[in-house]
Amino acid sequence: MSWTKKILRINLTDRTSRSEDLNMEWADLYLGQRGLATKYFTEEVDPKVEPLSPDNKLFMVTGPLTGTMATTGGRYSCVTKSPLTNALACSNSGGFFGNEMKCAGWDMIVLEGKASSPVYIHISNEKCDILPADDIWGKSVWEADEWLHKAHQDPQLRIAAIGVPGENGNLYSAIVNDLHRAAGRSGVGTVMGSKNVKAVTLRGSIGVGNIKDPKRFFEATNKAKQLIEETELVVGLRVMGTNVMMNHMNEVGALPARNWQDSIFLEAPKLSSEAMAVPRKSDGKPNLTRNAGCFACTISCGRISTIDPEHFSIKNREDIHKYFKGNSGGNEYEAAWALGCDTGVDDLDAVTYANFVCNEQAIDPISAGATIAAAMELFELGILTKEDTGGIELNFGNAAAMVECIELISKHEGFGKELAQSSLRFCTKYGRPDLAIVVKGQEFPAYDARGVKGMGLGYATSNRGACHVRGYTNASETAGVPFKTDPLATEGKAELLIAFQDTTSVFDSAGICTFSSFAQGLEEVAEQLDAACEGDWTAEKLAELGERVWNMERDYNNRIGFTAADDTLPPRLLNEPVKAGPAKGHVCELDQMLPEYYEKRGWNTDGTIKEETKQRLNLS
Amino acid sequence: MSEVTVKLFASLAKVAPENIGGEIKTFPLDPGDTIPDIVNKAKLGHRNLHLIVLNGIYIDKDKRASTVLSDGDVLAFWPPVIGG
Repeated sequence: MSWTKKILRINLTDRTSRSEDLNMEWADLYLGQRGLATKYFTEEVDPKVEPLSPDNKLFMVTGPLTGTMATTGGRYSCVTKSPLTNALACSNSGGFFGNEMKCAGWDMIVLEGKASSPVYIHISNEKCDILPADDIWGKSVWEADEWLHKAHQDPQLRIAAIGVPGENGNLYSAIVNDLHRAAGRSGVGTVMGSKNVKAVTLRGSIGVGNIKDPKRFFEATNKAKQLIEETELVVGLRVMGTNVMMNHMNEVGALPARNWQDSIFLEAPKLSSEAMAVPRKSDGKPNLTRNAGCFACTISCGRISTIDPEHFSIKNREDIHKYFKGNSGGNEYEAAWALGCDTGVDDLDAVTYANFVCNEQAIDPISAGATIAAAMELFELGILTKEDTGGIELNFGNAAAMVECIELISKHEGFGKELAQSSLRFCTKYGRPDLAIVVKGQEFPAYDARGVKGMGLGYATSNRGACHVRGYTNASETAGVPFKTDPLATEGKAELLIAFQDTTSVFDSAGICTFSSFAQGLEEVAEQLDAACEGDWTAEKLAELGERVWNMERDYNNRIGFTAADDTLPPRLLNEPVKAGPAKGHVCELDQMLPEYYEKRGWNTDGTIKEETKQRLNLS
Repeated sequence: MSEVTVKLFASLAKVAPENIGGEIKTFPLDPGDTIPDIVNKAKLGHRNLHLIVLNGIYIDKDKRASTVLSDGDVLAFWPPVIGG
């Protein structure tokens, strides 16, 4: 139980939909959300499929704990084949869309084929309508959201939508739900746009009432919530938000800056959580308005912010005030880093504005910021000129230039179309693919792998390309959670990373947030699942399930054509030593970690999975 | 005179424009002073100092008492925080 045991399949080509029973044997092996949808995807979709063709599928999927009273049980994921990486994509979002899907009676929604003209999907419990989207195609997420709420006369409608970039093939388009929560990475919004789907709207009144043992579930979820409240680390997230890492990573000398030319950004404090709390001169208000929580979350790490009303970026953006009275989601650490440190911009309001535009038009701020940063380096090298940029002086630190680039990306106009192809393709066009800081085509997040070496191994082996949330060894390496390891050492990082990767796979498959893993472990998750769901759920079973999910993803990527040669890092990380700080002189010695990682994973030296490993994990 | 610089971050720092990169204080350093000695001088003994970073290097809890400080050292303190 806890699963609704129902899948909604939507064939966009012939504009039909049907209900299908959930495969409960697979649910026992892959749980839900990331694991279960990936199982379906890998069974149904040819590894060689072109990501933007009608034959690709997009799974929007919940976990068994989504929509329940389990703390942080508001997560959902988008699983597809990525146009950015050509690998499997699984992008996770919070907000209130996932629980609404569950309340409407669906574990997952599958978008198949391609509509002949723009549509949106309107789901109200068992009823599914595929409706014309002519009035909202070409509009932003925020405009579409407003129009859809009015059109259906339902303020409670939950909406996930793409923006203009997603309609036009920008390779790092996100799917934004609830106005500013995003399935952000790997271009899942690009896939949605390729199917001519502007939005999915949900209204569920059935509820999640099929808990196996409500009394035991109540006790188990209460215990987990209490654990979170007793864990000061997680409560710190509520107070400071994720951007508290800005000063921390800078102090430990692993904050990449200016397209990873530097590992310390002296101006980083201006973009930090601490800076977000300081009242500004113009209106006496701080950047940070309040914190915000997703459905059922007792952490509430989200940030809601405003831009200085006097700031240049919003002089001509009255519509921002119309929709939000100046508020939107952010700044989170990753977005503030990519749009700020990576581009050398130290203007908090410019970064906040750029982040808002990413919310407004469903753009991955990490990939967008990183692509602009790569373009800035090309510009400073004289390879990219003002003729190429349409007149933009694209130097590092130029806030107005960064803002102009984001606006052009959001409108998919002019130089923005060039940047929309992502950093690898952009840098390759100008003959310098080495300046694209990517793995498998996906841009890096905010931890310098030369100063936090486990993260380097994590970037190289991540199944969706460079990513921090697939295996957040930084918690151990620079913050001592759950135990301290030396960030500059390579020894032991393979084992550490595998533990993080497999555990994260479980949280992503259960329907809960990985941030809760700073307080609760697999024992607590197993207790909640066992009380909510049929099947016997133990920490041991979950640990194996996490390993199974990771290997399933790997095996599919291998069948796509990825090999050990793709488990690498950009030359800058491997060959250019850090210039200053605690990591001075260091590169990321991937070659010292990768063979051990393969061995501990039970893989061959060519990166394929040994048959005995597949058999042990029931993957054969 | 020898000195050590202390930087307080997150909720350890007062919200102020000058504190965005850490609330900075300096303390005289006596010969043999360890991290707990400076914590006492800074009157931080009652705070939960989850993260202590000395010149950019994380100092394990069990090594704080034996870490002798030098002139010009920078000690950064955080309460329990994590991000991602």
